[in-house]
Amino acid sequence: MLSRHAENLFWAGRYSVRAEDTARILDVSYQWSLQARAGTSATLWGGLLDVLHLEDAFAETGERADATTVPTFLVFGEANPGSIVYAVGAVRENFRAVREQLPLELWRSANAFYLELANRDLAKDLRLRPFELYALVRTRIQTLSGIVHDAMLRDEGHRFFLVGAWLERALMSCRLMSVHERSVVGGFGDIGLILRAASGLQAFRRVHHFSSEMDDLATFLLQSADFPRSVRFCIEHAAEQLAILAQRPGSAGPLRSQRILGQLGSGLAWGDSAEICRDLPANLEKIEDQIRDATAAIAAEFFLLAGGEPLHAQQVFPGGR
Amino acid sequence: MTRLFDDYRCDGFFDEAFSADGVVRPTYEALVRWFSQLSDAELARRARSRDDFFRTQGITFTVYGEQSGIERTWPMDLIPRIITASEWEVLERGLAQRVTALNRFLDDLYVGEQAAVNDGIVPRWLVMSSDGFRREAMGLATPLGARCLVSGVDIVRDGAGEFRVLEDNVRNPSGISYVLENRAVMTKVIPGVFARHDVRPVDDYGRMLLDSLRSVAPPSAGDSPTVVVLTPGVYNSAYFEHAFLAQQMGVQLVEGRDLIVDDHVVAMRTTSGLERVDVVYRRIDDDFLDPVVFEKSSMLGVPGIMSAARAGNVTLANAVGNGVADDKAVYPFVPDLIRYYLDEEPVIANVDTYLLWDEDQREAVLARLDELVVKPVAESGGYGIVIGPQATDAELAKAAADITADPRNWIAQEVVSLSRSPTLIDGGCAGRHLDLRPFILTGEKVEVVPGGLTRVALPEGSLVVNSSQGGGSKDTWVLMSDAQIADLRAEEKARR
Repeated sequence: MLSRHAENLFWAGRYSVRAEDTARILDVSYQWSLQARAGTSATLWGGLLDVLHLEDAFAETGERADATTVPTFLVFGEANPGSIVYAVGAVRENFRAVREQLPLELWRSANAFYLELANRDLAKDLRLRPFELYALVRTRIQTLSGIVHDAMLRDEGHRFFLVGAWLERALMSCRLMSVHERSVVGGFGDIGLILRAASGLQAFRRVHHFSSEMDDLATFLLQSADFPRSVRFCIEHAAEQLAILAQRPGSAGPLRSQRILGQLGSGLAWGDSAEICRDLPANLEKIEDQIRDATAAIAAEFFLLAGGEPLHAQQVFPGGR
Repeated sequence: MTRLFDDYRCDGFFDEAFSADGVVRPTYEALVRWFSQLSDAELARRARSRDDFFRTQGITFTVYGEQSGIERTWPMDLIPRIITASEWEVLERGLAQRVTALNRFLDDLYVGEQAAVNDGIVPRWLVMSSDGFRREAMGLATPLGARCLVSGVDIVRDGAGEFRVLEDNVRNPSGISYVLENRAVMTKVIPGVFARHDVRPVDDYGRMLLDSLRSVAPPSAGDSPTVVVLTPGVYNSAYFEHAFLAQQMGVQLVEGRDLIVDDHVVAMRTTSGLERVDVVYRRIDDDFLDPVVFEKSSMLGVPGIMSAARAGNVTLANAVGNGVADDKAVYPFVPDLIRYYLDEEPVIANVDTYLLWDEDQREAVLARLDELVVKPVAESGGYGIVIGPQATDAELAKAAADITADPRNWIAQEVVSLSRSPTLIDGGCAGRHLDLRPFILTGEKVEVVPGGLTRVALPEGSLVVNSSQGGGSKDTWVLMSDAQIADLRAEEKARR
């Protein structure tokens, strides 16, 4: 398929996950802030920006980080390519570029959601009914994923969408771990909230019961082979799709992107969770770096052939990291 | 029961469906009878059904002149326009003849001896000063001489009911997608009455177009040439057609940025690497095609594509430089070109046209500007046309000034009393002027698509049919001849 179309679908996958998972993170942050002790608000919301690598972008708004400014920034911030509104718009634009090749319902669903958000008074939603807004975003994106799963032909385009989605989800799960990790300083502390954000609380309980150990959370969110939001699960599924895409006429040996994901995946599969947790911030950093490297490699291998220009200025998570 | 045609008047115009007030032409009898017995509610229901089909499929077009170009759902009248087999036989012969002559003229001009110019059939200065002439195309041949791979020759019927060519369009004619979509929707909305007529199908166009494009592939292409449709992108008013045709042919739709020219070979950037392209059906104007050679600022084109064409590694369809042949100042010479290249009398006549660079003709025209139609030679979409009898004094004054300032780039014609056809307007039926744009493909042979796009001027009394200025359309039914019907029956029998 045309490189440009492959890139469009890759980004549609990434942005759809970004929209949903940003809503999840906001949901859990807001719940925590309701339970938090007085005085932790600024560190909580500031910490969230750090975790999403958006502290510089936010600084440009000149606002102070608090329970109003940060959600506003993350939901419909003007200059924020990490915002939900931006992400939903990006899904729509990327689908529009390949519209003729998509199931009609998929385009319609993405377009309808984009228009729906544009017609809502989001400031009011955040004031009066934030949980409903976050739930709405999650539901709409889940509908989109459902249509992708049920109606999309299993061609290259579909695989690029999945690779983008899995890689973004892996990144987001790392960020959830970071949020918890910083929570000791910032005031989260409740791994239950993190797990709920990942829709993994029940699953965790079945495996680790009522543990509140970091090791167990790390094992679950980073290393589980069965939980669909664990970083390992996401990396392995991305690698699976990539393996099929890499089978091109004239290809010789694994691509660099495959090597990176392969090493990352097996590192997580075989790593000792106690060791990983011993220096969690550094290890999470390393995982994120590897995901970014893999993304850049994919772009070089599939999208930017013969001097083409990337479709999106930021090939990695906004904030350049 | 509607009284749809009770108040229908011909008003002195040649009417497609009525030979006189209240007298239906035999070809339209079944149709008029059927529409007459529809209740108002049923008619409204069918109209809604038609609208739904066009809307849900997103068949739109852009109307300029409003804020930012509004996308409107494609307007198609429910009453089709019928052309009899014998009428079509003449049109088909005439159109094929005309396109053959235009191809010969262009091929001779850019690659050959320029015989018609040398022998004074068309003035050399006229050709060289044409907006559409491209010296960059000199020496650049198209296989089979098929420079006008797709042609759209606009046909009108005058007050006497005679078909005449109004203008040629051989650069980037559009509209075929609407012909196909109109037919698809009509068969769904009025299936019964459609089935009662033996209408020649048009849905083979994708195959016909692909065959033609493949036939002009360069020799280096081998047995299975790669064809692509090159579009300026989603913001172009005809984008829907570009995407539609690519899909009908089963070929890739590309934008300039998807193609790269390396070592004079055109290739597509795909996920499997660079894939060679042999034929480019380019729906981009000459000026924007190659920034190395033409407009340097064009972001839509493919740098170096002309060098690849010159090296014989890719065929551009339609060829570069065709604008000379559809220059309205060259139009008056086309009948002579037919005589010169084919040694035949033109089957379809031109509309009488005055050459404004000739001083005598110009003086005569300026004296009766309010009785004539004046047109700028290089425009399309009906823009810039001044219809004397309908123009304001200010518009006439401006036209006179434009003509005096730049006479080479204007022509004048007598106002053709365009034929009319019953059109559903505001719950009733009234006569509206129309024209016809048939489509002609040139490849190994010249093929004329049965029918074409019938365009209707919707405002009362208007003669401007172009959709970008608010015109509508009708499905065009070319009826099968008795011989064709017999052949079809024989074929069906043989299959059983």
